[in-house]
Amino acid sequence: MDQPQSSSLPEKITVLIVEDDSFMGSLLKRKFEQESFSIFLATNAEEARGVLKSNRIALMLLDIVLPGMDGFSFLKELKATPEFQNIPVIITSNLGKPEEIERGLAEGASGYIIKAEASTAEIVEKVRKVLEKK
Amino acid sequence: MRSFWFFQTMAIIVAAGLAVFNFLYLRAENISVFFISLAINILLVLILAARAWGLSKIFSDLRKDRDSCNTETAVKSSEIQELEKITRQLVRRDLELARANQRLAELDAAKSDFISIAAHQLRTPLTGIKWSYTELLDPKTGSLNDEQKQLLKNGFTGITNIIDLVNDLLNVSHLEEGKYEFNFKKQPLLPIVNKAMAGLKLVADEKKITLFSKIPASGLPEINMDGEKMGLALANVLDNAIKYTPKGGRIDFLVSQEQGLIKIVVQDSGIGIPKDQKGRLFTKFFRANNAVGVQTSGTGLGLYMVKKIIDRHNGKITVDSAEGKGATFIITLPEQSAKKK
Repeated sequence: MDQPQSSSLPEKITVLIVEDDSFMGSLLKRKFEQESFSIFLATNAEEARGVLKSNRIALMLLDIVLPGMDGFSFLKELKATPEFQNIPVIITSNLGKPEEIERGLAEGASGYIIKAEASTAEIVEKVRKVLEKK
Repeated sequence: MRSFWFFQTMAIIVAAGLAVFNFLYLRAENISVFFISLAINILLVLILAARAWGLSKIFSDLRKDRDSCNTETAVKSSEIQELEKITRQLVRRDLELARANQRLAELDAAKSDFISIAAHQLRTPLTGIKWSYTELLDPKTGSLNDEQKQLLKNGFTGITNIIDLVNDLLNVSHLEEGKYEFNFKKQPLLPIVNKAMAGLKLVADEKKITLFSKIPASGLPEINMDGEKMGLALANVLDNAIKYTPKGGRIDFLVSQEQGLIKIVVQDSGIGIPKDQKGRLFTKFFRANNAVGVQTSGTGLGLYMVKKIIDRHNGKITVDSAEGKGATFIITLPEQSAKKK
């Protein structure tokens, strides 16, 4: 209500990036913010849960290799939670063996990106595509 | 033994005593009886003596036999000991070999694990660095002078090469670990071949290399294969052909069928392979000297992977080449391909 300048601007889409490597996390955040997204960063499943509970998240980028609970297990948990199960999740990993991709998609991920083979711009593109489909 | 001789001796003494008794006592009474009994005594003594002599001979023979038996036993027993010693040694060697093999297997697994872990741990920071370079080169980040741009471009190429190497290392270690899951399905080879061709054409045009292909539009039998891996293998061989053929060269890509085998030939007019290095072409990390001269970056893992993939399909890959005179790679695949692992 009290937004003197930005009432004409479209509401920014909020994306949660779950990535334990802070270097990559900051690069992703920077790129997405450049592309007018609003970004939350979490370095593990627990932090991510906290962000999900207190914010409206439109989409989540989820790494697999995380400290504590791994990405697959977290994904499974989310899809079993009514309030979060409809948030699209794109797995961003540096693994990338076919069986892992299959597993991710089987657990309900909306997409799978192998970070080493994609650029930040391509990741933004993928996010946009998945949100459009929704 | 001793008791025999005792009784023998006693018997002789008794006989002799009897004889003396006869001689002394009976002779006085009745000469004829005396002589008869003396004769009997002497006969007895003679018989006993003869028996004793005979028996002693038997005994000495027996003793000789026993002695020779003992000697033989001693010899045999020492031979047996020798055999036992050798058997123990063999058992020990066998145990040592089994242990050494197990150690080798552990080391190999550790090495594979190490490669997997290192490769994965390397990919993350490398990806971050690659992204930084991309962002720096992006005009949205800020303007750069030409020198800065060039430096960054060079850095970016370097990073891309390292990421390629890490990917190759990961692939190799997966292949060896057996983690590379092959999904075999009976399918036509044509789509895979055509896809590889399409990729080849783009780069060939850029490098002004003439591409000649002869691929039958139909009639190729379906074969049992992992489409993704086969595509990888073909792409790799074609990639090499392009890489090592200079501008204006020529590549022939031929697919045919003969005697129940599918034959894929990739022939280039490039730098060829020196004769003394042909044998190592399909080994890990090997790059021929002249290849390194043309392109310093390259992992040496490509053909190693190709051979592994072709092997798994029960096929064969051979190369015919002379330095400076191009190379011809021939892949043959049986229809009934795919070894069960």
